[in-house]
Amino acid sequence: MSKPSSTSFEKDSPDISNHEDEDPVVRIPVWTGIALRLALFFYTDASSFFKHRVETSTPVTSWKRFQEGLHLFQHGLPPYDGGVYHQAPLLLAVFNFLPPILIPFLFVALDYWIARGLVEIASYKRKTLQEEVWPEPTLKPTLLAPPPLEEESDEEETETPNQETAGLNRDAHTEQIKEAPKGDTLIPPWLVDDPATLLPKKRPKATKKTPSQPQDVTRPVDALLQAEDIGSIYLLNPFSVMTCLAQSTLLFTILAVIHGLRFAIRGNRSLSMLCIAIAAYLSLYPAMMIAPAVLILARNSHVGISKEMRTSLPLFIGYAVALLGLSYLLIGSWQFLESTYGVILFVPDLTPNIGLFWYFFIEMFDQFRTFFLCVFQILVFIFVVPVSMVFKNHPLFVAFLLTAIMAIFKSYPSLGDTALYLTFLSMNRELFKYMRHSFLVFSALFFASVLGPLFYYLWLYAGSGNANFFYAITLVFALAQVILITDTGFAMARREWDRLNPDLRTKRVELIHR
Amino acid sequence: MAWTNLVLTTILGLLLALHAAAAPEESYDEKLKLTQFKDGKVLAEFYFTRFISPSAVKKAKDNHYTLLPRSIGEIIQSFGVKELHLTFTQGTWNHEKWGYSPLSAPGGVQLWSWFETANVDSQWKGLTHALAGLFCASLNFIDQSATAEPLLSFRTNGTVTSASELTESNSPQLRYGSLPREAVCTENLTPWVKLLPCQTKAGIASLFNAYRLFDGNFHSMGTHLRPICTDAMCEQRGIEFVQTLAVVLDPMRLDNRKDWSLQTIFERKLDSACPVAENTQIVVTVPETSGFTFRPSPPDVKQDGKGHTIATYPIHRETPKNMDVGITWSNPTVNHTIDRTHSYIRANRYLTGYGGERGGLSVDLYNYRSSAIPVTYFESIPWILKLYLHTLKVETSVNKSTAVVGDIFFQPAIDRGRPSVLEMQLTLPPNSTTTISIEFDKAFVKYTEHPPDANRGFDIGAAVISLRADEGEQNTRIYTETLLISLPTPDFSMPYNVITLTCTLIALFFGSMFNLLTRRFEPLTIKR
Amino acid sequence: MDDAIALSAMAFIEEALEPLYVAHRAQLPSDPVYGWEGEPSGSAESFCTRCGSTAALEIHSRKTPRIDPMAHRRSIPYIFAFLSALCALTHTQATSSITSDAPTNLSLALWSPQPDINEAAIEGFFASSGHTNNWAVLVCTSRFWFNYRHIANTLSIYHTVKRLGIPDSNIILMLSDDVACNPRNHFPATIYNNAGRFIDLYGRNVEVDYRGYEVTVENFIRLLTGRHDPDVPRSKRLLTDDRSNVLVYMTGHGGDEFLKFQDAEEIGSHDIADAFAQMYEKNRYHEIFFMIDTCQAASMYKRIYSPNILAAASAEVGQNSYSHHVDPDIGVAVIDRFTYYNLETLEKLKGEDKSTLQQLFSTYNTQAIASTPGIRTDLYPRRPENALVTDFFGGVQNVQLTTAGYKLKSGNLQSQTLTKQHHPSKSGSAKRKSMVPPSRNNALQVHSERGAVSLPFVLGLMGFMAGVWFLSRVI
Repeated sequence: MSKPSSTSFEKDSPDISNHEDEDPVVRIPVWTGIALRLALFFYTDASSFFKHRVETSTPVTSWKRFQEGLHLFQHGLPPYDGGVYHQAPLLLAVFNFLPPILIPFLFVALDYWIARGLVEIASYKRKTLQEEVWPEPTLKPTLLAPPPLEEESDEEETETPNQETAGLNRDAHTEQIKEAPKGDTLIPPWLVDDPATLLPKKRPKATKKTPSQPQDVTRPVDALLQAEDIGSIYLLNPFSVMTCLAQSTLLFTILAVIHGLRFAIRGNRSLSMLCIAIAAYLSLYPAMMIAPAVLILARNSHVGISKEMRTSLPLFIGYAVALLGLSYLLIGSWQFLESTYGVILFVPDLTPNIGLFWYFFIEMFDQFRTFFLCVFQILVFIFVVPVSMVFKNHPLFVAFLLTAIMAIFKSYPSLGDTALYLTFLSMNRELFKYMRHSFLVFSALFFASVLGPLFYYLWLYAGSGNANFFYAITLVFALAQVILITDTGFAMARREWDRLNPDLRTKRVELIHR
Repeated sequence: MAWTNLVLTTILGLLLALHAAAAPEESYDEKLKLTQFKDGKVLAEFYFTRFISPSAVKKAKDNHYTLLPRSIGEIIQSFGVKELHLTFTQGTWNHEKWGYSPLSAPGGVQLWSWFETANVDSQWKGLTHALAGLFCASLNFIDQSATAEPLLSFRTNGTVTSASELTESNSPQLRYGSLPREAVCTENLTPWVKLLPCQTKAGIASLFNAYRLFDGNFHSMGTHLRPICTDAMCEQRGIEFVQTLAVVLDPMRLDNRKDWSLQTIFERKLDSACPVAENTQIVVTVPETSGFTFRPSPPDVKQDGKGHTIATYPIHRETPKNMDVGITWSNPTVNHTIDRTHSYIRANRYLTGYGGERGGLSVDLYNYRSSAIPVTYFESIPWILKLYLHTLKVETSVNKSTAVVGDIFFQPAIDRGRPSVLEMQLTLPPNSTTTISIEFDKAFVKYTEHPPDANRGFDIGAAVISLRADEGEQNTRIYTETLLISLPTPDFSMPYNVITLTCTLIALFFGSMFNLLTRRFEPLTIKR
Repeated sequence: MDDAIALSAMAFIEEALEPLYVAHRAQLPSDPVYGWEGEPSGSAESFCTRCGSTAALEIHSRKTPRIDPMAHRRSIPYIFAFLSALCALTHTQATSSITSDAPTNLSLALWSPQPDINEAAIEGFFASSGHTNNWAVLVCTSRFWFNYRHIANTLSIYHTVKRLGIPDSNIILMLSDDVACNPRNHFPATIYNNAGRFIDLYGRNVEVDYRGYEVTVENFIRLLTGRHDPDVPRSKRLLTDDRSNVLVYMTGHGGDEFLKFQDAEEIGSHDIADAFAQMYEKNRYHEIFFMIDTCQAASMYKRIYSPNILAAASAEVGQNSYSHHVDPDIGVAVIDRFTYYNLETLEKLKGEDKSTLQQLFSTYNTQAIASTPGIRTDLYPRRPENALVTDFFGGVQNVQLTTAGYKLKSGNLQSQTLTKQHHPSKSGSAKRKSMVPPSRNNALQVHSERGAVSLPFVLGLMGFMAGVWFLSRVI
């Protein structure tokens, strides 16, 4: 396979701190988000406001319910013997001895750790992006606009493209390629808006230290990922600010997921599986995150995926069982299983949230309840294997897809889940130029975020709307996210196709998907 | 034939004499207590008391029923019921104006009973269904999600299972259920009256006039059954079966006069005594010592030292038929002041908060005495409200020298499984107001769980405050109001729409993802 | 000798039991609607029309007490004597007729056959219409105060069938709401179907079997098909057999092929048809008269396919049914037209009336009812001219009191035995109790705050941490 001929790529460990003269982006440090949270916690009433919002607190993550469970636990009553407390037992152990004054600090600290984990993951992503192999086309195309860099060639494309394709190619059907007319020079789509083409003078020159533009002009140019920015994107995302202020215990799950990936990046199999096990123990659905973790571990240790699974999966199961055993020792009975995982799976509590389950099961007839419950739960878990198989070279994209599927289709989603996968999306910036519906998606997300609380208020407080209003907004929100997932999925597939079909990159190709 | 008649009659006479000499097996008493309050309202309390001796109870087990109605006897035998209390009530008892009565009851239906058998839950279900059929009420709605098991309240009156009968499986268990919304009307009165030995043909029950009974400010029918130990070790147990009816009528509203008589308030006169009853009496109580006349003149009048005059009219065979009892007043004005010596404790329960998501429940307990009163507070809240115990607060209006709250017992609700139960022992400080408050979240119930008139809301049963009485007395219980809470409703016309819309979204997602994961891009044409 | 003893014993017994007869007759309510109380302001027909002498009728007058409390006590000595005579007779009979062919049946020993009873008349009791008992299922499906008239409709029919002889134990009355004791009712504990307020339909003796929220489609279909929870009491079951004529009357708001129950759910015409079909398969009826008073009522009986069902409806498909008049004091309409005009005919009937259903149907005046009533007779074996109104609305018992005896046909003699009368009680259905999961009632004491982490947990946690550290080093 051909490698890019440029020699000025950095081959060392990822450079987290970029030089400022390299990329014209503003770097936002992580502490801004932390300061924002602390300010909102202590100088405003925002925390008690968000604690009660259904968008941020669900029956399985609500702080008020956690306080109730803690209170029952500390006063000798079984916390799981009722219909109020549905959260994991070990959280009770965490907060049992914590003085109440420190609790906001704990949640802010959780967010900080999440941000740091994201920064490390982002730098890994940056490294893998730079290391990505883009096979060069056999015939180099020319550009309409000068000047090319010294590495670029100046040849015109005078020959007709041959039938052969170079590089790893999953597709072999090229018999329908027609001959291009002679003298045809096309600008690849991603270069149309490239500053290099429009404002050639501002294009930075390649030096030894800075990475130069890729030699291959057919390869898309992506702004380099600033790892610190990703952390700030997460921290400054209003959804995650709201989740932190609401003191939602979802933050523990997010922390565990992020660190599962982080330790996988570091190659620490045991700790990675421990973190994923903690995440699964807390919320059940993040068990799916084994897939991206295993993919990362396999890649880092250069072993096959099945071998990696054989070593990692027993670790995961062992840790999960140990956690359940610890919970049993804490509570003294197995009652918590029905109250935690039973509630997540069987959805007896139909409090509204931004998901699809609640109204569906409010209006469902009893005869069909079990069937639809099974369908909905299977829908969440069924995509793990196919997604990991198709995108096995992009484990962080797999993580994005799986967290997004969880955020839409889990039984009690909240805005914290949305914040998580939006951060993963921001790491995959290279897909933005391939996305087709981004305007629709982001306007719909904005629209739903604004109207959702409004319609909720109309339904429950003003009495001038009914449940359908809020339900419709959850549908819009879910639809926007669905379109986002499919759009990015197709974008990634398209990008992969471009990567592995170098000769067709510059052609205006009509693709069908079959 | 005459000599055969004579012989037979003498034989019969001897048998009857022997019968009379034996211990009284069953006895039946009737009592009507009429009390006029200062505000002019008349409380009529009817007591129909039957005592069934242990030997008669044994006969009842062989299907031999005399005074105990067969339907009741069979019910308590089939379901192993030791003690049963069932009340049907409409209206709220006004403790401030009317004081306390053992016949005050919470609105709707309240049923509590002690069982001494295994499988108490299936027995309880059977009992509620059987009583529903007997009394034409929908008691079958008292199921496990509405049944509580109080730990401190509703204790039996000391008569426990004898030591020889007490085993692990049949130690007595208590079950309590209430339906705050149950309507009480003639169809409940009819079967209840049919249980009386003389029905409405004779005795004080001949005063029953449905049009007046259900026009009262308060009416409550009760069926009470409890065991009575006849020996020290309680090896022999009889049954006391009491049927009670309390009605508060207002002669000021009916005739615009403070004077009243049985004819004016019931439109009936007392026909004659029930021949089966051993004692029948009418007791009239007036909260004054002068300014009125009893009509007719009672054979027995006394003052009770608290400002009340009590007249007793025993009814027997010699009493003339169509007897009318009443009072005429010389001063026809009524007095609406509240006498705190007679109504020294009061409770008021209400909902707080706004909106369809959450709210609060508060109870104010007023103690107007200058001594502390120990009470037990019990309430059973349906599972549609999720109570938060960590928000429970008990506050008093005065600085307390001793702790107000004693033991607290709490049972959190399980959705569709059981109600929340909160039971507390409190000591109300003298001359104070104690407020108990707790927050809750409203549950979002399924479409099928809403009643047909969903916008009315759900009812919450009354809380029970038991005054821990001195030894020897029965516990007095006062009941708060029932509450009405509106839960957010889904759109009832939408089930199919919701299912199709959500499933469309899911299908859209699944289809797109499926395509993404299973298909490949293929170049088709290359355009210019 | 036997005959002589028997005859003399009989005469003695008759004399002895005379006061008991009187007392017993007096206990039969002269007005079954008002039962144990007097002063009904409507028709007060005597229930016992074959009682014969005016002396017996005098006892039914309202002024005298309904029961002579002393009657049973006066006859006690005679009862003792009767029983002892009985013992003597059975003993002699038993010992003397062991080898004889004469039956040892006790009743036959006492009653000697009289040849002049008309066998045919007695046989005819059971042949005319084929049914031996009557049941009525009266359903009001509407809730709320403004549907007062539907409850009044149902109670009017209840009043009629009770008056004509169906006892409460054979009537299932389903009322969706309580309007009599509704706070809006200006006249508490009453329901009137006429602005003149002549008859209080609620009266003093009403038994409502299904009330309020219990009136649901599911309960109605369970009632018809007989599939109940084992705990459902007897009074809520339709205990019909294959010789029962059932009157099913429904009223409320309906539409094309549906009837609304309590504004929350609907029953379809197919559901009713299938329920009747199940009844037919289970031999739960002899004949059904299905009467329905709603809008587009005829659509509800369109789908019935089981035999022996006659149906009458207030309006054809596409037509509404209307209320008759409003009582301004109550504030709402008090009766519907179809039921009103039916009652005009039904209220004139007496217990032994021979009016036919066809005569009832021919009184339907489309103009007055303001809709076209529908009748469906194709599933009914007889012609409406041959079917009596009292076949469905009345509970004529076909009982004749006689002092003479009737010799049963020889074919029945050998198989007849004295069976102990088995009276299943109201709670007898609880023999087979339903399985109820044990309750999870578990109120526990709230203790004061304390550190609740137990020692095993701490040890487990330490072990867990050690394991994690070890594994992260190794793997």
